[in-house]
Amino acid sequence: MNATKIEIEQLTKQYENAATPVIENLNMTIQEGEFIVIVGPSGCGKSTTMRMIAGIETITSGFLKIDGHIVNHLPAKDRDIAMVFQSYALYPHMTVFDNMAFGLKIRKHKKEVIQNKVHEAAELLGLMPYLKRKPKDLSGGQRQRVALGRAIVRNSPIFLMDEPLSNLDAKLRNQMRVELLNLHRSLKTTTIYVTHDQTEAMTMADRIIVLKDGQVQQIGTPEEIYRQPANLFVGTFLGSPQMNTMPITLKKRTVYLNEIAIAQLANDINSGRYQIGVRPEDWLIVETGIPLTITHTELLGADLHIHGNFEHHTIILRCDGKSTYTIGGVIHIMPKHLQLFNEQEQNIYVKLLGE
Amino acid sequence: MKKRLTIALFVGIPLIPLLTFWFIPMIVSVWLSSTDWDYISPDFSYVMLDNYKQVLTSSDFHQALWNTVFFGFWTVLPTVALGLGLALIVRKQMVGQTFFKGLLFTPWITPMVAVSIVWSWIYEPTIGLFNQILGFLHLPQPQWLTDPEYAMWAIIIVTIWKNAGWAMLFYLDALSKIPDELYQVGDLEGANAWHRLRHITLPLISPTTLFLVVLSAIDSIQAYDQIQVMTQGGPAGSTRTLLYLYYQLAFEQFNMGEATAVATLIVLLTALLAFILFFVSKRWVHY
Amino acid sequence: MKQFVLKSMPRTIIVMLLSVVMIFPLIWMLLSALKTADEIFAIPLTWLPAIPQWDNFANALKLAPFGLYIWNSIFTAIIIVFFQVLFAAMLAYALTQFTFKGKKLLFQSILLTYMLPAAATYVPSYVIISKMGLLDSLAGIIISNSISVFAIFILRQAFMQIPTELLDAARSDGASDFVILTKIMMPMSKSTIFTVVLISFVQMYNNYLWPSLIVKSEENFLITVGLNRFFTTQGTFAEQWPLIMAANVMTVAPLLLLFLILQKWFMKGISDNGLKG
Repeated sequence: MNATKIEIEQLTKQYENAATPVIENLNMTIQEGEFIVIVGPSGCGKSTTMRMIAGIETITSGFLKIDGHIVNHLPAKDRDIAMVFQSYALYPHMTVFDNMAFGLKIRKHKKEVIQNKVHEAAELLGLMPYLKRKPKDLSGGQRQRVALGRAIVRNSPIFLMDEPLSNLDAKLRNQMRVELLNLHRSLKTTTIYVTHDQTEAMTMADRIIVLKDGQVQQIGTPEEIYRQPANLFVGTFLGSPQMNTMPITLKKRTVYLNEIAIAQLANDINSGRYQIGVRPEDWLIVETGIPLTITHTELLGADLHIHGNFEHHTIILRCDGKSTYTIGGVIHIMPKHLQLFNEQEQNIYVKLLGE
Repeated sequence: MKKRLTIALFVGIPLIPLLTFWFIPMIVSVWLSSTDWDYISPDFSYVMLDNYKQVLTSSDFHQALWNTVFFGFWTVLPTVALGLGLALIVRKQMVGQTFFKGLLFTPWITPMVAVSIVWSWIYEPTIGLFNQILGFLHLPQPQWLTDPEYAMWAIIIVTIWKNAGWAMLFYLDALSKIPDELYQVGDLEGANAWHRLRHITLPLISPTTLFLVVLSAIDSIQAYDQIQVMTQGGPAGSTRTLLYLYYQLAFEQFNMGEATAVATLIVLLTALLAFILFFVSKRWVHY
Repeated sequence: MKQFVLKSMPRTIIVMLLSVVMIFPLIWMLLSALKTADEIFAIPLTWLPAIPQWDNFANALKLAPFGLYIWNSIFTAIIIVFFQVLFAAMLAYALTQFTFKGKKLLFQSILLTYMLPAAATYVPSYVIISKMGLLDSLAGIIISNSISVFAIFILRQAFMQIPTELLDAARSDGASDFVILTKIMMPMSKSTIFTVVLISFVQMYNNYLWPSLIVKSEENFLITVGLNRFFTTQGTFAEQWPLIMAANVMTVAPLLLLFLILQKWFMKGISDNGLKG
């Protein structure tokens, strides 16, 4: 088993002359063989975190442990970590073979060993016909594979991937996503994958780490993150179309939206003003409820997205693609599941009556 | 019609000096090399290739050709290498970086005649700065400008000193264009400083290296001022390059036929050099 | 910041030493210019003059009119640079904007000339100058240097970068070629032109071989010619060395001053445009 555990304790990165840290007191443990996706908006510190693990960025304070050993001051070349860059960072003057073989060559492996390993990886990635080409003669997808191949060849126990698919077109991205997962299944390497794309996060991760402004918002499986977001930011960041959010008042377990009672809670929560979040698929179309004037509809094959207005709220719901609705018509809706957020935008666990 | 006149003006006016002082002299020079003209007498006769025969068999020419090659080799390589070395050190962020870059580049700005005079003072055998320092270090103190063994080296040192900063500028630019990520990948792959230089930096700046080698080589063929000031081609012709030989033949001996024959050979040598370098470059320059 | 300074300390020291070594001949020149003849010949060498001998400059000026030489050099260099840029702009415009017979041949000839040693033209050019009756005159130097293949080449490159739509727009507004060249293309390439001006100026100021062939009488000497003459006539008298160094300082000073003020332009321009030395 070629995999390693990574522990991060109180990790902080602050640049000189910067007012606030890029990453502050980050804590997490990444298990052997786990596929972790760090997700967050640009500037949240996700790449910095990865680069600190790789050793290309220095650590201001806190500890980074690999297999129980503190490696804060271990130079990148001694950490035995393979990384795939967003730009691929292929050497323009080397052939595909030489790019993949570079790490082995400078570590003075035997010629036959290098040849075998490179061919093995090239076989796996379908790169055999291109070994003699230079990066400029390859397509985006092929370059991406070379960058991956270079990481695989090294046989490192840790893979870091910094937005590796963001330079590919949509179709290729879907395909590569599947290939990456298959690869992970067969190599079982501990993998940290950074992206701003929530679909990649949801579909690939064993666990997701959501970052914002250098702070961890939530760590959990995709399902936990989606069904039980720790706060409003996580709730709205993941999921497409976005979660509907609106301010409500809570009186005696009853949720009122502009004086309309829309839900009954099953557990006891203090009365007051809150925000709720409702996923587009969590609406029920009912006889009486929130009257929604349909502004437009989008048919996406199996699903139909209905956009509508209720007073000044804009609401999106997802329903069966077979149904049809007329624009300008009014439907009534009620949430069947919702998230409740307090003034600090933290999630308060609630259950609806009958849920 | 008006358009034609405009074109005629835009092309025609600059073409007058271009023809008079470049194109026509180039051709006339080749033509003169087949005559025995001595500049003073009004008439001359055609001697066809006699000038070339004369030049190519003279020991002065052989010596000058060898001096030119020797001078070229020992100025071009050290200039380029020193330029790269300086660029590698100055490249990284540090206090006063721009100031130091400026200092290193300053010799290139100064007139070769003036600095050659300074250097001939530095090379003075008994009281010159150079030999005093060498003496302090208990090293031999040669008669720099009057010993045929050392005179060429004296000229070479001045030339390298003057041009290294210029090469540094080009390398600084080339180095700044290499993406950081390539070095980061290198780090992760386990590359040490030598690997990074050998496998990443040098290949990626090779177009600049080629450019500098070609230009410095062509430049070295045209070196004149430092030789004129410091040694006048001596002692015993040990610093007489082809260009200096040409100058002496043309403007000291007024042997225009042989002089222009040497000029033609210089042109051919330059063209050959450029051709060879570009041909060789295909093998090791990465674009 | 403090940490950063400390970390780069060893490298800063190395760079400092290298810079001092590189610049030392010039420092030595200045120090020698301020010494007495006794100090300059002292063994072991004296580094600093006991009393700076500012008189050396005055005495050097008494022996040769360096002010006139420097003026001649600056004057001819400015006029030469003006014509070089003017002619180069016209030709570069023609090469990029017009189609005419022999355009390709013209450009290839220019390209070829760019590679070849200028010295190969000196004998016929010398004859031409003398036929024009311009030997021993600044006009001879100016006219023979009025075209620069290098300037044509660089300006052509700069003009090719200007988007054609811009020029088409100007043409549809009725702008003449002259207006397009002077009001659009030259202003848009002004940083390149400025670099060409600087480099050409330095080259012309430093030029020696060709001017030394043309000018014969003292009132027409360029500084390089005058300085070398001063060196060959006075260099044999040992006690004149401080004066020679003073003359050297005067020669180098205008360029160093120019460089000090416009350092950024020199350095950026050279690496950006790939300028030939």
